Amino acid sequence: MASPENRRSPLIALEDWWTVWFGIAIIVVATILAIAHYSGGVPLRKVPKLGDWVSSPVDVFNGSKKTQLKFKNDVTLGQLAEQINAEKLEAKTEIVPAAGGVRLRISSTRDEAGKVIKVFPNLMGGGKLHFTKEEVDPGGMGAHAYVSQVFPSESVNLGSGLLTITAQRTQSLIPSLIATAILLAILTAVGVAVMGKSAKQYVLAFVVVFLIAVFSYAVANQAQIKGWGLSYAMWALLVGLLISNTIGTPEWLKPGARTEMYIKTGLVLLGAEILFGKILSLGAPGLMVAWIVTPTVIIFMYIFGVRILKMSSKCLVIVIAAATSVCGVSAAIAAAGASRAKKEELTLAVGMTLIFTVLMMILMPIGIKASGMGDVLGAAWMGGTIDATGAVVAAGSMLGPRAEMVAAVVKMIQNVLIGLVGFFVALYWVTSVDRDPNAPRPSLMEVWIRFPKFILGFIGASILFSFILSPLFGALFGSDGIKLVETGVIKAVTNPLRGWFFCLAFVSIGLESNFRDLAKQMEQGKPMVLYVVGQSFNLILTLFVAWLAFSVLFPDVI
Amino acid sequence: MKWLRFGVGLLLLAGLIALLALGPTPGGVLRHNTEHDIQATALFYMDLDEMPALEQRLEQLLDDKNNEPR
Repeated sequence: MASPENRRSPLIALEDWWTVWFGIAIIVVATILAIAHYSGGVPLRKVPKLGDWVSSPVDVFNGSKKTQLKFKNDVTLGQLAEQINAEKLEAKTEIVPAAGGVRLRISSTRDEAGKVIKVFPNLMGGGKLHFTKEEVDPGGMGAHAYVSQVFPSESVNLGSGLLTITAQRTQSLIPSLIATAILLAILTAVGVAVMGKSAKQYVLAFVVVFLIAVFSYAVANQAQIKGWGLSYAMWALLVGLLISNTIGTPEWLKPGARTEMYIKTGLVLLGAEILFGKILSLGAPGLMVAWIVTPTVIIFMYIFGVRILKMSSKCLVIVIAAATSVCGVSAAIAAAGASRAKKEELTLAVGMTLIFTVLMMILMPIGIKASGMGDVLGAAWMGGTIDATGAVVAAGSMLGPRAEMVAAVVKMIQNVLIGLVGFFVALYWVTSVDRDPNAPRPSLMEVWIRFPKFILGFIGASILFSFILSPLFGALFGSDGIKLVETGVIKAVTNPLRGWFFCLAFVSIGLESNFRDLAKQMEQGKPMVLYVVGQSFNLILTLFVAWLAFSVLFPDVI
Repeated sequence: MKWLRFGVGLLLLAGLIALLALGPTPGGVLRHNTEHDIQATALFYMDLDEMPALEQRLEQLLDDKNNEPR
């Protein structure tokens, strides 16, 4: 006789489906909030992202605030200063005398810490306002201020436009952080309870896992550590591993370590960030570098790992291949979810990709400069090969502003591939890898039953945001729909929540892993050989295709 | 014994954090990142605060290039 468990619909019994429901619930609420904001002037609600740890760890709870001051009507220099000061930022704006008139000076109220303020004034008044960065404390902490050009008086009209200031804010993030933790706990606890587990035990453990995630984010946001490119994933893993491999993960903490639930929900939310409208941002050459090389490298690495190295786990091979060829940690997560890889396999791939990303971020700009390679070609090469997006921008920035743009956009176009990679890996695993070789070809119904459902949520979110919400927002609010969706829905809600889910997942992986199992994955160094050979192939092929695209076929594109 | 191992691990972790946060930054890239507040930790392009500005500047550059007299 079927048990009550078995009689329940998979739609409420399976974790896969619950992660889709969590994702849908978040996306629906975020979309409603954004529509309310754009149509009624309601303030935009944002999920908190921790701020930078500048001079003390407490800084992270102040967050940073990106303020966009929009001036529809003309403003004077004096009015602009007043408006900025009214923003409650840890920044002071003053009119200072200068030879031939006055200047606008924006500085941090905490001059001992240089990272507190950034100003992007280039859109103000159609370029009427320019700022230069002034070193306040040369050779010290790098404190700086932004000083405008000289104007005859403070009553000079600057016209209308946009001014963006990012600064540490005085308002504490703690209340909104607590609210986020409570909402996430309630949302996920509903699913956990319906799946037959104790919601009370889960919530208690969730609080501790969330606190470790906060710690991991805080360390990753330390001003100098941020420069190393070591993301919260590494710190979350390290703390989790430290606990599980020394005192052991306490029984009461285990219900909160729900790796798969966090990863899958995070992936559904990641789908919202895969906007297909982005793929032509750099025209045909960008598409060539990002979309020809990437699948070739994945297939090469998969064949090399399985047939030549004869690695025992195909899951580990595909996770390393995706991390190397697409976009590091996030691609590793997607491939691990799609192939149902073990936690230790994901940990190993993430560890390798983080270490090699730092090395490539440091060495590639040096090599490119030394070789005399053009900045655009060098940027496209780095955009196509360095695993992590942040590291690509950092390395690109070393070659100059044009290279920074090209590298970032090539990487962005490549990032979009993560959706297709996730989908095809899941399909291939269901139809080929996980199939009994002696069994007949699976029917469509069998494929549907075995297909990981959260991948549908992942792809569905991408399609929804790319082809429905973006045009809809454009039509409703008469502007660039993609940008509206990006700002109002993704950046405000789904992206920070995705970050929290991934961070919770890495804490959980650490708590559930032990070094002995991790060591078993090493297989006499085969994963390392796979990474090195695959990345070398990636470097050669990307350089060739980038040269073909940017120097031979489309030399004048940029 | 296990608490001793935990303590040692905690000290090692704190040492690693201190080394990376306060120690030397080999190579120009790390110094450049710190000075310019570059988000080298971003996992995905949407994690980068500067991405819209970078896209916009590239768009402008491509437009200018297309409008150049031939």
